[in-house]
Amino acid sequence: MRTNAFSSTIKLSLHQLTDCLSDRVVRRVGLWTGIAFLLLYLYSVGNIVIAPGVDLAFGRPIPTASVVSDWAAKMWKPISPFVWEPIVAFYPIRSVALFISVPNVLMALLLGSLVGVNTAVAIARARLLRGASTRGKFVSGFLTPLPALFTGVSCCVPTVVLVLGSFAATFTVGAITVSRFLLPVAIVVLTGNLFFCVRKATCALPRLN
Amino acid sequence: MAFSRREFLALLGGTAMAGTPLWKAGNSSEGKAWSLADFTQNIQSGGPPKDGIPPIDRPKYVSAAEADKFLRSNDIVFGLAYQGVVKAYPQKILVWHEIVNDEFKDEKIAVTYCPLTGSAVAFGGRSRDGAMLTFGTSGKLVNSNLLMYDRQTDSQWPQILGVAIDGKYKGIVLEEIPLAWTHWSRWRQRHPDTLALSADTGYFRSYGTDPYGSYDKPGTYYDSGGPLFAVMAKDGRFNPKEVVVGVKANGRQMAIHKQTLRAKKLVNTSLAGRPLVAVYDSELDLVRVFVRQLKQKPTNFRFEHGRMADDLTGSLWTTEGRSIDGKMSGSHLKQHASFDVMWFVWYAVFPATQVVK
Repeated sequence: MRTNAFSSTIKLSLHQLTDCLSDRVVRRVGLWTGIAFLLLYLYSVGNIVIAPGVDLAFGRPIPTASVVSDWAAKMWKPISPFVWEPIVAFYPIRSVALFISVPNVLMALLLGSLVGVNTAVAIARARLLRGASTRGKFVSGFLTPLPALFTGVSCCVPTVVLVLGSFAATFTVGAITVSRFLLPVAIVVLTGNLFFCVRKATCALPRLN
Repeated sequence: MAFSRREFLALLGGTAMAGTPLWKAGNSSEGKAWSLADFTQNIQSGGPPKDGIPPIDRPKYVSAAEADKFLRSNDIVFGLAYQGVVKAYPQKILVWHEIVNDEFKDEKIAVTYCPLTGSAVAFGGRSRDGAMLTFGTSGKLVNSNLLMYDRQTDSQWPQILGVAIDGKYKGIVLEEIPLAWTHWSRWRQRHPDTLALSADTGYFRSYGTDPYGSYDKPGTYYDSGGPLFAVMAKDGRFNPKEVVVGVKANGRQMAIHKQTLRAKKLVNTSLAGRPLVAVYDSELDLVRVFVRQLKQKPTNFRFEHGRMADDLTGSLWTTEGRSIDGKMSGSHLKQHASFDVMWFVWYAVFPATQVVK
């Protein structure tokens, strides 16, 4: 009985989601938002590095790519909560480095997909309802992925704390404590927000004249 | 080298026992000394897991000419001349690894750097029972300072303390080896035959960028604000990030204000009954500490035309501690280990420290 109810809930949600994504504009916005978030996430965990004026290739000829020694052993080695060791490096120009970590890319794909779909649904519903009452839900589609961007840790300190500067010292211990929960929270909130949105209302768009 | 191994073992038996103060205050008007338990109670997570900041275990080296391709003249390097081998460890590489487990001939040396406390210290890797130790990063901090662990017993060692605060080696003091905090061009000029740590570390990091700031530009973490993590004690005599030269002897400590020594050039002092002289080497922009004792007698030194001169024999000495003229010509002063460190952490670890302003 309970299994049937769950199954029909999933079916309904997927059906609603399909409705939401049926619009080409909405799909495109969702896709590009997802890609932008994926790149932003990889930047935040230090896998995309842009440093004008710095020779990241360290004197090597460019473009160049290399695979780390013992890559199989290092592939799943965590360097901070939910961030893993890169095993491939690519230097297209001196001031840009792309580091590839398989788990980080998988994580970025998962998060990017969730962000993209959430955004698409939020826009679809906003276009459908166009009412002030929907503003909160629309905004939530964009705010929910933010915790994931705080996952990046450089050496001993979360990047965000270093970006904020030394005045953030008071919050450092708190930031370290919560950092390990940020990514799971982001995934749960994004998934929950998506189901909540698609279940609550249809995305079947009115015909626009 | 600061002490022979035998001297270190003697130290261990006297002062480095668990649960008792490691060092007695040099001056009763200054702060108290911490026990090992105090340090263990103040361990904090730094964020990364164990070895999440990966030590370099198989360091590779390049020639100075090759290193010129990726090191700028004003890049900070930690220079080590030991057992006839000269090596430079670029700060821009160590900021991402914090520990290099190296070998000099048959001896293991751990070159360590904590960016949060601006301290670079080289340790001999031999333990009391003769085992060769290698170190990893625990991902934890004490007083905002790197907490290392040894891979052989998992004992934990705060870098600046240089003593295991728990585990099998609890209370054991690591042997410190003088390490030069200087610039690449200065080190290269002094040691043209130097090797430099290669960026081929076995890991990919954005070497050349520094997540904490920059030593070239004022206003970053390295010279501004306070510590990012809680510390056990605070003191306002200097700016928290002011650089002092930390010296230890027989369970006592001393902080020499580096900027003051740049101006004074030389200071005769003593620590725990050991007569010491601190001298500024303007070519490398660093401070060395020597035992100011000649023929078993303490003597004072003075600074003359870029050289040191002793009062006992009138001999002239280089700032590297080598006599170049006079009765002592050809002999060497015994160097005492010291290292640059931010004031806030030196005081937090050693609140009973003497201070030379």
